[in-house]
Amino acid sequence: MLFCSISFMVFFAVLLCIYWALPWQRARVWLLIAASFYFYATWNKWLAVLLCISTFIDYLLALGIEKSQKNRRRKLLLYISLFANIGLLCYFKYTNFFLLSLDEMLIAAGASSWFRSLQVIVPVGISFYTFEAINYMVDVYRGNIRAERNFGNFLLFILFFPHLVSGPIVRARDFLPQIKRPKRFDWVRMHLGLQYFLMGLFKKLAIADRMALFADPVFDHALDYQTSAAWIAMFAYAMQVYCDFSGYTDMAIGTAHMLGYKLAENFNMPYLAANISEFWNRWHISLSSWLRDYIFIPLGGSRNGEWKTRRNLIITMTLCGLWHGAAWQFVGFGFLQAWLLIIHRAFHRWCKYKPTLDAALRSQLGTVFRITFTFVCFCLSLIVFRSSSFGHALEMYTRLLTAAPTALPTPVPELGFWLTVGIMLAGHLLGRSGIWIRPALRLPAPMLGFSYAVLFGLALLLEPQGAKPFIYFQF
Amino acid sequence: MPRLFLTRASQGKRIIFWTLFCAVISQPALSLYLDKRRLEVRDPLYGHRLNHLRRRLAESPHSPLFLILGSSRVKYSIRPAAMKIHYVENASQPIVYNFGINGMGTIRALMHFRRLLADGIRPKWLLVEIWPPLWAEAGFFRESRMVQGEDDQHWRDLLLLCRYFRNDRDVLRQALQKSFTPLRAYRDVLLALSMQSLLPPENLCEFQKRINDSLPADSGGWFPLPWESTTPQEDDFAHRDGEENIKPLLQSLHIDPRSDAALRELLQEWRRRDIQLALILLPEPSWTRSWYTPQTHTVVREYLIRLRRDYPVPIIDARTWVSDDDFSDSTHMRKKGVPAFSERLGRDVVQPMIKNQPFDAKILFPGVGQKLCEEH
Repeated sequence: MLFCSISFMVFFAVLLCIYWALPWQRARVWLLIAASFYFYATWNKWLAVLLCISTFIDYLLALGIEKSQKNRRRKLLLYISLFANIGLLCYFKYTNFFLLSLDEMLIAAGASSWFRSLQVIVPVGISFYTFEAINYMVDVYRGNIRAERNFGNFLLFILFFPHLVSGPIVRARDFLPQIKRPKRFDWVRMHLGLQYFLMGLFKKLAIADRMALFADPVFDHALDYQTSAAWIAMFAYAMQVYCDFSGYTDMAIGTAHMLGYKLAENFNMPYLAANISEFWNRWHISLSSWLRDYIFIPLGGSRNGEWKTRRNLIITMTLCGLWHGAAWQFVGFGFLQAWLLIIHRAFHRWCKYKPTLDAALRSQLGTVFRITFTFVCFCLSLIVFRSSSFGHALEMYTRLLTAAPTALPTPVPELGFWLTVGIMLAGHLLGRSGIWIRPALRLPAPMLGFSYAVLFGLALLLEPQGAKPFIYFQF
Repeated sequence: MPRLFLTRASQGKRIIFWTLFCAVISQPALSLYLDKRRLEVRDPLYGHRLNHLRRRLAESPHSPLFLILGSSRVKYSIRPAAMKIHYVENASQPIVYNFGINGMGTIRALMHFRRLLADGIRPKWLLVEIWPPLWAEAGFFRESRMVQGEDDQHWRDLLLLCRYFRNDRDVLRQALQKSFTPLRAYRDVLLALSMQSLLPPENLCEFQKRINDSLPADSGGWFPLPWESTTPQEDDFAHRDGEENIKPLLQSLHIDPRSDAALRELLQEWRRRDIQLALILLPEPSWTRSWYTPQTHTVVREYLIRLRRDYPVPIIDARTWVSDDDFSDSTHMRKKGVPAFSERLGRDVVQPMIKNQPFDAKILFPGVGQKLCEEH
């Protein structure tokens, strides 16, 4: 059930009515659990059951960690939990990757094929809820939070359907207190939720899925297309992946608001970042901060000299790439990001000794240049992320740099692309400046309601044929 | 972060109300608008033909209409322009119009007849094709498939579809989606009409092909067969295709109660209105006729006798009127066979109906023909 499908809208409308009609907070919690279970079970009911079982084990282990006085015992329980969570993640997501990689190495060494791939379904959103469970266990172990006594509350923390399959990765310390807080129906919050939901719906249907029309055919057969088509495909994919994921997050935040919960923002206009370090503070914020808190800082962060910082960045970002998917191109993407961060750190330090250059780069024009440069660098690295293999990525890079005037033009007339670029640019500038808020507040309610309905209608109208699942569902 | 804005609670409530109101109302409103004003947008085949027929009727407003309803066999086989009809003197010459639509069985004939009446088309004479394989509501020709593939369900078809396809969830789901969320269901067509540059070329081509397929080749509503076989291999393929899709239905024919009910509903509709009606079995090549088993013959014969007993409607049997050479496949006529068949149909069926004369007993379905001839 996709957030942008009619069936989800019907499901959510029914749930919302029943939810706010219930007078008891506990009943609402259990209703949300049942709805979330149903939501996940529409993909696979057995995996939904498995998710509940693993959540129950984490619940018991966290209680055990908190009760235990002995440090060794606490550590042991934490390791059991980490082993179970990471084990499930590895089994479902990475086993085939490791087996096939090993097999390819053996074949390359002249041996015959040894391994067969396992017939397993990758549970939707496994990387997200595994990370949520890990952050809860580690925080309980560190004593940052208390273990949740009520299993229903803990189950809802993991299962809550708006963030279940594609995040944002919720921290237990942010979410668990919200479950206990009494909820009151609030029109202001409903309106806010509606704004988020419509914004996300428009991003997903009218921008992300539409940009896929420019990107998908070219990425699949890059050498068949002209150079301009390849550049457009690259930028189109950058817009697709951003609008797809941030659209999902907006819809998740919107639905959560309507149910009386607040999820953390996951994006902060990342394409307006002036350098790659700032970019990663604005892109998929919940993952970046998770990696920082649970991998980069425990490894030593940037405290132990430049070489160790570089090592930590490479480890963290490579794992970040691997988190995205079980394939070498994701590992390559993470590795590239690490090197971009390392280069940025070096350049930043170097600039301190060149005050004129530093001032020029900090000027308005220089900032525009830095934003454009960061954006293009990220887009170029995204090619590795999008391509089905390094060979395909190489083809794409080749086409970007070599002319092919007789090849195919863009798969869809370019006007649609430039129109979308214009909409996105205007949306970013308006959203950043906030100048639209004052006139919007003065508009009468029917006019605003009408404009929201127009936005909804435009999203439906501009959605290309053939519904596409969210890109981040596969992670 | 994108800045959204907060309002007062009362303002928020009103905004949500107006959003829901506009979003919910706009969809059925668009659906109704398309049904009433722009039929060709959602259903090019029906809409363009209706517009074409309306233009014909507007050219001679006093002419009565002779309408022929049926499947692709009617669409590609009956050319009113080739009919040589001697009209009644001192009277307006009738307009004979072929309204054949691919795969039209009895349920869709009823659906289209109702649509035409609702759109202000009042035929004085009606000739409706009946074809046994379409009575089975099974296999390739089942109307639940046709209704999804060929027609775009209109708002006003909903009740009829609910009655006849209540067990077929796909049909109902599609009909409801098309009626209640037309903006999504017809987004490609709407974009093709407003902003073609937003559509992939293949979708645009498909849209244009559908439009071209919906425009009749002549003033009588006839279409030339687009897939006429020209080589022995193509003939062989067409023959095998018929064996695969038609033969099994004829070998063990059973009449689906829905098909029977729709035909009876159509006949009751006809009874209530001042329309002269005849049913017709169109020509079939000898190999297709050979697929009828004796049991099938009995089933068809007994069904038509029962029908004839309940409704005094003439049933024309034209199954042997065309030689095998004039068939492109197991059901459809080649272009070269159309003029001769249309001429005979005009002479033996259309003209007697227009002049209110009895049919020649030889052209009536055996067994029900004699009694019918006496009555007529």
